Amino acid sequence: MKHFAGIDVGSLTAKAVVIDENNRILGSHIMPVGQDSLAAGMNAYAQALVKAGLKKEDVAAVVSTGYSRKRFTEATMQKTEISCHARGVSVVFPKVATLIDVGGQDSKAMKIGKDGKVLDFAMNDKCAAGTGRFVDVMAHALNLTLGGLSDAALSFKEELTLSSTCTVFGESEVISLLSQGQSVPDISWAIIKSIADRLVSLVKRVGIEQDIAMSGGMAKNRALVSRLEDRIGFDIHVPGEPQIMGAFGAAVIAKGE
Amino acid sequence: MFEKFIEVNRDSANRARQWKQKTGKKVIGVMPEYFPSEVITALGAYPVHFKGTQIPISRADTYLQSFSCTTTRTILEQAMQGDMDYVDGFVFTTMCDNQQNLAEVFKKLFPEKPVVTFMIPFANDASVRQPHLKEQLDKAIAGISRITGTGFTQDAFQTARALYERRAALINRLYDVRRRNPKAVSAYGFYSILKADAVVPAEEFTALLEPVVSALENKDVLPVEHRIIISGITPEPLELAKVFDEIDLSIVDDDLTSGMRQFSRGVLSGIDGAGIDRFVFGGSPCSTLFNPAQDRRAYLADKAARDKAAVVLWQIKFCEPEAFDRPDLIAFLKQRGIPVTSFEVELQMNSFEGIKTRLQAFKEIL
Repeated sequence: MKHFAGIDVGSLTAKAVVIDENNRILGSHIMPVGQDSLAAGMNAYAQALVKAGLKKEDVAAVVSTGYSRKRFTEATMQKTEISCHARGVSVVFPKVATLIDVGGQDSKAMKIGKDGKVLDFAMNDKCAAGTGRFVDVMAHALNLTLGGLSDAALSFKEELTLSSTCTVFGESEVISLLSQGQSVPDISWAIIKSIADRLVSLVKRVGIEQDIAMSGGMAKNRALVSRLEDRIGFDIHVPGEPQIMGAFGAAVIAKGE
Repeated sequence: MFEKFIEVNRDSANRARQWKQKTGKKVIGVMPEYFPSEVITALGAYPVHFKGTQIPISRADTYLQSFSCTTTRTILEQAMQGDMDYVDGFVFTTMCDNQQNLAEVFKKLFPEKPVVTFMIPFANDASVRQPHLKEQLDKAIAGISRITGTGFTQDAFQTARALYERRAALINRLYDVRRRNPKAVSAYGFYSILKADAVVPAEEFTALLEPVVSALENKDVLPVEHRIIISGITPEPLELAKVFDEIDLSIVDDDLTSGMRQFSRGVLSGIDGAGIDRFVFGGSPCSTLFNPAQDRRAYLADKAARDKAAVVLWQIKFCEPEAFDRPDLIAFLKQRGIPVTSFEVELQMNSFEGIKTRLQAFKEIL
């Protein structure tokens, strides 16, 4: 049986996935990028191979994706994370028509056609608002982990609104709300609403069509998914491990190549 | 092949100082489009167009808001840092609110350098525009004459016209070559030539460009996979053009104010109302001009269909005229089945990874 691999090196984490001919994930690994994106990608790939019980020679083709995709000269080809997330998610949810991918430094909305082909897409511009980084900065201001912020948000009591969409000013606003005695769950929910509202605007640029799915690290945030479902009016499908969908999609593309 | 133009762009202020010394002419800074250079040349001056640079902004924000476009802010920064010391006077056109505001800032900051303002009207038809434009042109001619000490003569104007017609014909040949054989010229090379045109005197520019165009015309025609039209104001920062070359998106034509729009209208035919009206409003539609007789959406869609090309909107951040047009343009093009994407840049940007991902993803869906 042939094996294929995808390596996705984003702004914050490197992800690698090894699959077989039936798209079954044999091994995967996620690790922080740090200062050397090439080393992080190669390490993630090596760890994924170990988990799969395979060696490099056992892999027929590798596709790299993410911001550092061009650095992997060993890769059979490079594809953008937009195409890879779409392909990966469409394998898990074949009917997906709209995909929201929120990564560390950017967010994307995609309209997806047959076989995971991207028909249209929109990306956030050069601003951290609407990305994982925004939530990361806010969680830090509240002394919470990302998971902790999600849990706190789901137990909110009072509707607060974060007026600033800028990450820097938003952080100042969170600190001001804390000093006014507002509760952490209420502030956490205000943060989730802020990013969700920006994401809804992004998705509207490509058009909202059922079925809708979400990938990327922020899809693990239950509060964000819940708020998005309320705003969009449809259920959102989230893969079991949304963060590796780019690498998984890259591996599926490698199989096709 | 493009090295001479790239060299000019690397050091345009010093090159302009050298040309000023060589020609002994006064320099008129043009801010930035829709004023006829042939008039400045006829009045014995050397026109230099300012369209923004990558200069880091440290002083200009004292006078302009940070949400003004970086074209305007970097032009002011250049002036405040002494990069326009060789300029004897300025012509500002009112192509947008920021430019109009900038003219007033220049009057206040540099009172020793005369500022001539050329007001472009908002009017429904040519019969209303023409007397106004004629009056504006006459005022501008009088203002520039005071700077150069040379009056307007028909002979000098016709000589200047002939020179600019040669220049325009050459640039149109360059565009034709690219349409026919996009692989003959890189995006970076092409726009390096147009950028240098803003600084190099017209005589020298035509002499430099003639052999380049002839050589390009003789290149073998190569197949093209992805044909692109770029649309916007100006292709800055120019380094970004290299991304198109790198990921093999072939720009076959453009719809840029500092590109095809200015060469689609021809040179100024005469200093009468009809002539200046044709010069300003006779080219392809522009977001900075109010002209109900033109539909920019249909123009761009037809052009893309004719060239079998997708459209990339190359937008400068906070450019209001372009920002107003963008949603409507995108919706119209999509409705006509023409693939379209857009990105926003600031002139000082030097990392293009995000835009590269966007363009490569666009290529993957084409």
